[in-house]
Amino acid sequence: MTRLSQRKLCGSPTHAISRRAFLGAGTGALAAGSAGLGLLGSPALADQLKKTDKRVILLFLSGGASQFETWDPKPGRPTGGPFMTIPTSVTGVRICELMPLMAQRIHKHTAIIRSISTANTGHDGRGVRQLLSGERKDTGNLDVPSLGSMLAKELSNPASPLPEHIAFYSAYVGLTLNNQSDFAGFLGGRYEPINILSRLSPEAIEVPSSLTGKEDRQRHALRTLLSQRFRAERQRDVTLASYDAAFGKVRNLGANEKLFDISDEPASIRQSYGNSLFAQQAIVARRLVEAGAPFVRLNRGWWDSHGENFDIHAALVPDLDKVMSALLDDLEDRGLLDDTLVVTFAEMGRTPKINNMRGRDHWGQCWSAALSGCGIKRGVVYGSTNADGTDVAENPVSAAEFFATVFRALGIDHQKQYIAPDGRPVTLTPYDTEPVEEVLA
Amino acid sequence: MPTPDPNQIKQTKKIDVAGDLLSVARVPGTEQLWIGASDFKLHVIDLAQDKPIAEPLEGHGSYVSGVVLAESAIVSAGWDRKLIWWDRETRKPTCTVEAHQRWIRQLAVSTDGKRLATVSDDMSCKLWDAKSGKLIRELNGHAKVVPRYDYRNKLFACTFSPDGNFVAAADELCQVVVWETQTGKERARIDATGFFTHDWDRNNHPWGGLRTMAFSPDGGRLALGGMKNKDVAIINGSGLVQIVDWQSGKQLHELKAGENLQFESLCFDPKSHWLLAASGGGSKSRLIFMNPDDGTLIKEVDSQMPIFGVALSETAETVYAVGRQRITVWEMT
Repeated sequence: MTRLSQRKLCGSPTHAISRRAFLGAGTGALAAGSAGLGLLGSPALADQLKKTDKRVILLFLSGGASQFETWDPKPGRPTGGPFMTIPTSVTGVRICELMPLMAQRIHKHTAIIRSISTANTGHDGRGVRQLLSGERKDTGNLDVPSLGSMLAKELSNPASPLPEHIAFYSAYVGLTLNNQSDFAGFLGGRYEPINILSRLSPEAIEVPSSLTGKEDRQRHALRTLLSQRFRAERQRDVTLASYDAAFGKVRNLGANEKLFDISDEPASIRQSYGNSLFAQQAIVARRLVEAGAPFVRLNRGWWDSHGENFDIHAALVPDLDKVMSALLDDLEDRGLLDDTLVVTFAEMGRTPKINNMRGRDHWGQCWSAALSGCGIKRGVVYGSTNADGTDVAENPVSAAEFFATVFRALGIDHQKQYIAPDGRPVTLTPYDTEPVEEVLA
Repeated sequence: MPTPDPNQIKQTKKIDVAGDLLSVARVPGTEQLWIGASDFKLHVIDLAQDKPIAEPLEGHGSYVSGVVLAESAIVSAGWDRKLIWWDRETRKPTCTVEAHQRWIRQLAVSTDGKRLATVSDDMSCKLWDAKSGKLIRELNGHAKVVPRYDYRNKLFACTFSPDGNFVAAADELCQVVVWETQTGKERARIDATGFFTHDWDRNNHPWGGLRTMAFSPDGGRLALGGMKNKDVAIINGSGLVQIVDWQSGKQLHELKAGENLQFESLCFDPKSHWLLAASGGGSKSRLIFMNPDDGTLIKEVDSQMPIFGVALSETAETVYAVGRQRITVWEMT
C-alpha cells in the first residue's frame, strides 16, 4: 500500500483498497451494470469495494440551517445573533452553544468544513438539482444523477434484499412542496429514492388484509412472468431491468418491515436519540444501514428561518445535536462508524444579515457542512469565513469538491466514469475536481 | 387631567442608533432612556439634549433583552443568563447575578419597584428582590418540552399585576400561568390557543405567537399580544390582541389588526381608556390603540420600524419606542 493510496482512500487500514485495483477502474473493460448501463469499471475493484460494505447516512438540513447557529458562530459581531459559543473537544475550536453534545464529540467523530461556497440560493427547481449533482458545468444539459443516487449505485450490494436508496422526510416542505428529492437520471429507477414522509415506514408495505399469503405469492408470480415477457421483447431498453430490480427491492421491504419498527430498541438507545420524528427516523436509518442498506437520507425540515431565526434554531439545533451525536455514538458502539459516513449538509446556508423579522435569508456564499465517520480525519476544521461570516476567508470548497471528498472518504474514485445514454463519458465529479485531502483520514 | 387621545398621536423625535434596540426603561421626570441592545450593550441616552448621543455600557455577553428601573437602580437582563444592577450616576455595574440556566427572554418590575420577575428558556419564572438581588421564589408550571415535537419549550413573556400580588408568564405553547407572588401558588392557567400554530406535517415545528402581556390597571383583566401565524418560516399573519378575565379564563375581547405583524409590547393607559400594542415582528410595523372595553380599534399608525420595547411617560401622553436601529418618540398632546 502506497502512502498515496492510504491517504486518498478510506482511512481504515482494514478496508484499504489497492492502488492498482483503483487505477484499474479507469481502464477496465466495459461492463454492463445491473441497470444495463455502460459502466467503465473493474469487477475486481467492485468486489473489493463491496466487501467493505460502506454506507452513508445523509442528514440533509432541509430549508437551509444557519451556519452561525451551528458550526461557525460569530459571537459579538453584528451578524452573530444572541447565542454564545462553547468550547469543543478540539482545542481552540468553538461552536454554537446549541450543540453541547456534538461539541464533546468533534475529536472522535467529525470534521467540520466552514467554507462551503455554492451557487444555489433556492429550495427547489434547477438550482437545487444542480447543487445535488455537484453544480457542475462540464455536462451541458445532461441530467446528471444526484449525489444520493450515485452513492446508492456505487455502494449497492447485489446480495442485499434492501433498496439501495431510502429517504425519510420529517416535513412535507422539502418533498411535496419544494421537491429536494434525489434523482437517478440515467442510472435508472433502481437508484431513485423510496421516499417516506412524516412516518417511520413506507406506506402500504404490508400485504393487504384481503389477500392470503398464497394469493399474494401467486399475484407476484404473475407479475414477474408478465414483466419477463415484456422485457424479453425490449432487451435494448436499459431502464426496464432497473425498474424491475427496484420493484423487487421494494417488495422485499414488506418482508423486512421489522426494520422499520423501533419498538424493540432498548430504552437507553431511544432515550439517547430523543422522541422527535427526526430522532425516530434516525433510529430506523441506523437499523437499515446495519441491515445492509447502502444509502439512507434523513431529510430534516424545515429550517427556512426568514422570520424568528433564533427561535427556530433554538428548537431545531438541540434536536439535531442530540440526534446526530446519538447516531454517531450508536454507530460507533455497533462497530459501524468506520464503515458509515454521516454527511451533514443542506441546500444552502443563511445570510449574515439579520433581517427585519429577526430572520436570516438564503445564502450560498459561505456556509458549513460536517463529515463524520468513515474515511474522515476526526477533529479537523477546514476552511474559514471572515469576521462577520460574509465571505470565505480561506480554502473555499465547492459542491463538486465536497462531493469528491465524500466519494473518496468511502473509497470511491471520484473520477470514475459512467457512460450516459448518448454515449458521453461522465465522471462522478468534474474532471478537474480534487477532494479536500485535509479532512480525509 | 384628560386622557391622552390616540387620534392626536404624532411622531416628534427620531434618533438613529446602530443595531436592534430590544428593551427600554425611562427615568421618571426625565427623557433619559436606558436601552438594552443586540450589540450586547446597554445604551444610555438623554433625549432632552439637542443632539442626543447614546453612551454604550458593557457588561453583558449577549443580547440585552430586558431593562427596568427598580427604585433607584437600573437592572438589565440578557441572553447571557445574567441580571446586572447598574448605578445610575456612575453607570457602572454594582451587582451581577447568574440568574438562569438558559437565555432570559423578558424582565419585569413590580409597580412599587421592589420586585423583579424574569422568564427564561430554562422554563422557570423567577422572582427577585430588586434591592438585594436575592432570589425570592422560583415558579414552575410550564411544559419543559413541546409535546409530540420533543423540542425545548420557551418562556417568552412575564408581567406583574398592578398591586404586585400576581405574576403571569407565557410560553411557546401559549399557556399562561398566573401565580400568587407571596406564596408561589398557581392561581390561574389560560390556554391561549388562538395564538398557537400546530405545524406537524408542513414544517415539523410548532409556532406560538404569544409574545407580550399586560394586566389592566384594575388588575382584573390580562391583555395578551402576539400573532396568529400562518407560516413558521416567516412572520406572516394577523397581529392579535386578546383581553381575558384571567381569573375565569374567559376571553372578553379580541382584535386582529394588520397583516404580517406581531405585537411584542403592550401598555394600558393608567385610566384604562386605551391599550397600546406595538408590533416588533413581521414585515409591517404598527402602533395600535385598542379600546379595552369593547375590543374596537381606536387608532392605527405606521411606526416605520419594528418596535421591540415601549415606555410611557407618567401621564401616558408620550410614547418612547425602541426597535430596529432607531428610537422614536410619539406625542398625544
